[in-house]
Amino acid sequence: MKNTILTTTLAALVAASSAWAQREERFHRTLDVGPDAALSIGNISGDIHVEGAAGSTIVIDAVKSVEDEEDAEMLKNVDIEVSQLGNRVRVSTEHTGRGRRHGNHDGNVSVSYHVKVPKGTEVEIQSVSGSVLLVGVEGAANAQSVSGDVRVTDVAQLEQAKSVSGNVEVLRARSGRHAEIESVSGEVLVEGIEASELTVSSVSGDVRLKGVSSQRASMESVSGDLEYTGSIAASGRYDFQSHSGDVVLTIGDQVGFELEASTFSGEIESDFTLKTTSRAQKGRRLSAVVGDGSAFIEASTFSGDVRLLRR
Amino acid sequence: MGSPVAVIEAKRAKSEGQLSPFPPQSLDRDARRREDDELVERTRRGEMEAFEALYRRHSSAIFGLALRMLQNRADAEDMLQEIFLQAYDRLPSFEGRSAFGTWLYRLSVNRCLDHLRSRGAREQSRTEPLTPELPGRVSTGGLRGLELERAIGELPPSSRAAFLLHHVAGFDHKEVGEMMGIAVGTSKSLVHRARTRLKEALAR
Amino acid sequence: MTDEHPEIERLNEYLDQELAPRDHRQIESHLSRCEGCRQVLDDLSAIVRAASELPPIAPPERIWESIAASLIERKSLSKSGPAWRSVLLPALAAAAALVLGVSLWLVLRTGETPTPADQEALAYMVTEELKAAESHYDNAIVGLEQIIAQNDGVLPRELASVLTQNLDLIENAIGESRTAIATEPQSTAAQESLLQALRSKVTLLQNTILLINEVRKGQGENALDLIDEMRKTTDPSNPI
Repeated sequence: MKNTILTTTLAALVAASSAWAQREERFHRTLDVGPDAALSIGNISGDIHVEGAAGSTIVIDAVKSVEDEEDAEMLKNVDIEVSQLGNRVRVSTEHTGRGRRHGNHDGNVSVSYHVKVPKGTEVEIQSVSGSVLLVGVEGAANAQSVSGDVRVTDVAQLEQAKSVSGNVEVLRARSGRHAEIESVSGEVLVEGIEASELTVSSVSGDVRLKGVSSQRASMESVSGDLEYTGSIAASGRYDFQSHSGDVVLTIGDQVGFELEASTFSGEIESDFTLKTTSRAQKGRRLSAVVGDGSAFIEASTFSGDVRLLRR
Repeated sequence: MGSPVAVIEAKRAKSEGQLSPFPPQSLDRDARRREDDELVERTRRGEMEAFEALYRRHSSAIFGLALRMLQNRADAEDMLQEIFLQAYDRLPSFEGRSAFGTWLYRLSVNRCLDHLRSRGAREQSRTEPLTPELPGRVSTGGLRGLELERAIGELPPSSRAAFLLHHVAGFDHKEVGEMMGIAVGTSKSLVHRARTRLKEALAR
Repeated sequence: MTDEHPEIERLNEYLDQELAPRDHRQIESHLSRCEGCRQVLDDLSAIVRAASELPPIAPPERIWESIAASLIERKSLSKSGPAWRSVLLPALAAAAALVLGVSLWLVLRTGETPTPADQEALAYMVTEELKAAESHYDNAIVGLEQIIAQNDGVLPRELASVLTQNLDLIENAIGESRTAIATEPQSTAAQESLLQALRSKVTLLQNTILLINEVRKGQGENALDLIDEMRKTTDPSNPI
């Protein structure tokens, strides 16, 4: 979405007059940054797409738009503010004027951003109702939306990928510290992550994971199902907990592990031979050791089922 | 054999992020025996921690024996539990004529042999394939060690027991004889036969 | 003995130095001339060496926990003689202690001759541990809910509704867990479910406050106090 025309500063942008009936305004800015740059971008309504690329500039392309022509004059109530201090760039959508009283909406103005950053940039994205896409950055990565979906792929230092009602998807990520991937009511999908510590959760959405390598991984849902497919890191500790959802694990046995499965009123089904370890309790607690038992897996539910499948 | 148990304990405690509360065992066999004797005495006086210390000091060796005798992880875990519970029960009548470790090994090897000889146990043990459950960490040139473990599993019970007691646990033939209730000569012969079979198995 | 290749049994005896000196010398001499037999001897030696290096194998920790629990249960049922001073605690207490991460030995360290009243008291104490954990969470929750109540109407309706729905879901989970505990107090599955659900509630309330914060910032209001209030309520020094 490179727009070669507008390279002028914000002040040069002229809001459309209603006679012109322009529903869109484009914005373009290029900033020089060095290595170890940081980008923080906040938006209310509209999608945000940030992508790592070669080079040492941050290139911002944005489109302010309204759906109805009659709202066109609202465009001037929304500013795109860009500030730079050394290597740190901050971009935000500011609602000025009348629309401010309406809380987060200025009529129906939405701003969609497409930003290219140097690969090593630290990126923080906050959106309210737009979706977020963050791809290919090696600096610390934080992506959040309230009602939009969040998608993070090919990042090297994931810190957070969160949404409240949107879905969260993380593919091919690494993290040197604690990575948090969460939604409240949305679904969470993680495929291919390597993190020293990991928390993946949803309250009411399902959580699906494939290929997690972590020393300490915690997967939780209250009513959603938890599904894991893949192998387990040797000497890792993986906890799966759901209240009423099912926990379904499909695991290879190349790496040995110790497994504890428990449920209060659900069923436990397993391809691995399980031994009863609970005594005189309602509810079932079963365990198994496969291979050298170096990793540890705990799968528990309250009323959901636990299913352990051998890959 | 140094004090491999202490090393393993320390490693495990470290990996669980805590220091082991149990002081490492002395390298000297006599000193170890005296320490065990003291722990037995304290256990008799009702100190649970002393029994736990005895467990920590001996469980890895006994578990190794049980695993190699029974060739089945789940059975070995049950066996370990039963052995220590039985040891606890019999402690009042342990007179200290032999070292606690020797007494414990004797209890263990006999229970394992009984288990192997009972028909029921033989059937149950076939449910889990053995190979994936062999001890993973072998110090002697990886593959060789694993082959040896597998080959040990194919020895007939008495040979297996005598071999493990003599060459792995380090008891002399007199001690092995006393533990298994056999003559010294029989112990030698069982161990030799075991070695011969192992050599043939590994040469294949 | 002739100079034929010795039987392997002889080699075994040779290896263990069990032969009479004359037989020993004869075999030694044969070995110096016979590659094949030397090989056999080397194989036997290698086996002995490899066997002496077979390591002890650390058993999983839960085996000790099982043993300890058995001993405790056993004690509570038996009439102990004077030689065996014991501390009585029902197995359920041991199991519950493990769930809550309470050191088993802490619980056992009373060291006195127990009475039936003690026994009951000890069992009650473990339930008390669970109650203590619960009340930590409850306190945190009350504090967070107050902050949220003071900021009623700040969040956009749709968002507030998603949060409320999910909060209700967690409430249900808490209710189910409590019911389960009431009917099956020993069930560790029920206890764990309760604590997990309480944790989820605290997390959701904290996130709600962070959102309120964001909205207030957007409206140019000073929102920093909220974070401080929240931190005070969910003091990290509380063992949650």
